[in-house]
Amino acid sequence: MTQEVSGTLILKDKLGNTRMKQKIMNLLLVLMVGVTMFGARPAYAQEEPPIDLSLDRNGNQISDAVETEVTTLQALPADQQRAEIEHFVSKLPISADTLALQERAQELSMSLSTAKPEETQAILEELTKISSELDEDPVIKKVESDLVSLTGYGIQDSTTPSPSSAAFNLLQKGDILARQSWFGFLFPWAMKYEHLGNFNGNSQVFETYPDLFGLFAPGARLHPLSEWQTKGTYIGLGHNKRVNPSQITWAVNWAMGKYGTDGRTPYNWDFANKQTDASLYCSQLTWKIHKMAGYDLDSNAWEYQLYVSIKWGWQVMVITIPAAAPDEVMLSPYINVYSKGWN
Amino acid sequence: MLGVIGILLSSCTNGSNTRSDIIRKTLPENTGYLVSGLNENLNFAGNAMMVFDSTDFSKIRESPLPKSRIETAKIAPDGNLWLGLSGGSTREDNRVVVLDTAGNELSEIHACLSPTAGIWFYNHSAIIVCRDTGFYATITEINMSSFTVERKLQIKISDQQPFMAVSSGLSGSSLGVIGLTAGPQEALTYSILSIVNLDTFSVSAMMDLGAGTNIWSVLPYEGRFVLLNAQGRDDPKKRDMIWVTPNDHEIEKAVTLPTPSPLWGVIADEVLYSFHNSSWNSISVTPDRFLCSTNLVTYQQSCLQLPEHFDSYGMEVVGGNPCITHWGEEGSSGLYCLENGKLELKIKYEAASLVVLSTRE
Repeated sequence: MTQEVSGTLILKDKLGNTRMKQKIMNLLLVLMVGVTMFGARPAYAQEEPPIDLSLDRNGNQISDAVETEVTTLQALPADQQRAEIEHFVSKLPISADTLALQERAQELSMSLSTAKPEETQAILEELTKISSELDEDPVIKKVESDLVSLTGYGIQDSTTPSPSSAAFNLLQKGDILARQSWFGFLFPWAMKYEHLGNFNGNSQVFETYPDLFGLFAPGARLHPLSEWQTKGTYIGLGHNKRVNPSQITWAVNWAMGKYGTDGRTPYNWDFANKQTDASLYCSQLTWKIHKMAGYDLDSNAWEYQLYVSIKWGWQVMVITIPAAAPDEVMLSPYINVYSKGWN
Repeated sequence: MLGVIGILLSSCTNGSNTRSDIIRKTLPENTGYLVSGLNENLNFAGNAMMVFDSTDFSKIRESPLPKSRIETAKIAPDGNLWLGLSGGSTREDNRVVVLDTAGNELSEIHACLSPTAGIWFYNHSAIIVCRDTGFYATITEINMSSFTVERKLQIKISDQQPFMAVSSGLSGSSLGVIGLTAGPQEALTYSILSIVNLDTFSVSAMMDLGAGTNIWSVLPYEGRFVLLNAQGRDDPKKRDMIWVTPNDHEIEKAVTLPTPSPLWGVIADEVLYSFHNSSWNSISVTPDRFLCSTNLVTYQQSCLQLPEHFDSYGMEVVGGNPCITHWGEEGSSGLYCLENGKLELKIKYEAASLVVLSTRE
């Protein structure tokens, strides 16, 4: 149904919600912020020399510049960390080719939120390809590696298969299951984990999945625990150490009633828009559940923001700061990652 | 040479012979298909199948398979292989792919979401059982000549109670679909058996099997379903096998076995061959695995204890011996068969998951 109001065409769905208008407003807001950043290096970066990553005075194989940056960020209040990350990343000696890849990735990322379902697969495939190329950039590789060494968190820290799998016997309803992926197909901005699920008891996991064939199949799903136990996958298990069990049980049940069971909630490709209830991505569902129980798991952890900014350019924070990425949830101070390992 | 000429003459003189018929006649009487379809590394880059002669396990050919999780495979009466593609940990799939005996793709059908719970053939139709959203299941009937979707049936309990289809079995016109549901004891699983009448294409019964049932095999046997309970060890009622009469919608009996928790099974000549893994789909994790044979009249059971964490995703009886797939550390994956009390690696195959047998009619 359509209705013209003050010269602006508003599309209304059956429930009378102005979904399209909301989507357009979100996109305009993100674009306004993004346009001021796209292709523009901050003034301070234009005057300061690039970082010399070769300096390693203590001989620990970690660049002094990265060590100093980590120390700085650890000491800064949360509201000052973003500016510091922008400053640091802007001074990295990134090649022109890599900068061009990062700009292309930013265009693609912005287009995801308004892409038609049949276009999302192609966008993700190109982002995955760019991700692999960025991973080969020597500057990005070096800084990422140093960051993972210093923080102990990242894909690189789980390269060696451990003999035992994650401790599934400790799972409680409301616990978070996190899965690592090596190819970033679903969420290219992963530092360690790409996908989250929510344990529902009875060996079931409540999660959201995309459908990449443009069929508008609903995204909220119930999967058997056995899928998370398949060989060859790296799993982390997290528990909200502050929430009380009955609160989180209630919140999971609430979410299943609100988003699942009748197949009405599709996958949300507009990662920056975690507030919407009309569609959900995986970590957004987890964020919603724990928010309903009283805890905001969108940590905006500096480790994560720094990591993704190094790889994708600091402009990526336009998406990653409002979004609730799987890594931000698992790095939340409310979450105790009590087990991790290879199946 | 004469044999080849015989086939060529046959194709010249009999206009109804298709290319598939000719190719099929060159396959051994007993053909096996060993599938690697669960390894998500590099987006299922290694998905493949080996076609083998099941009399001597010799390789006939190998071919790649679609890059999507493959949890169900079945040989149709016409010899074609039907595969259900369910996606992976980052995306979903709703396709069923049909391959001819030479491995050529005949059709790709968008059947229903996550075709993981079984593929059956009834009355010239293929019946695909899909997990769908996990809150309800979908059965899709496909015309085997035109590969078109004829009709669909949704199996649902209620908005508040999920039905996550995980497996199925066919006995006569009764399709038994087993699904997981929710229950008050968080550590236990709850299974429900839905009986679908394929003649009327409708649900004729929903049987609640209660707490402690984690059923992933529905085996037709003498007009009944034998359900294997992988949570038998932790089931308060210690049910390892549950016998159901589909026509009467009744639980005939429940049996406790000396070695509990059968997961996969095949029945041949009054013997149930079963692979046991009480950790499957459970928070209760143990390393124990067994391969057992149980006489279905006396319930006498003999078991071979397998190496710890010896995981298997499929089994068949080949030449009278139970065989299981194994996906293990490098070099140890493949098809293993129990012969003379020993488990032997018959076919080495990386990340082996499913095994399917075909016997030429």
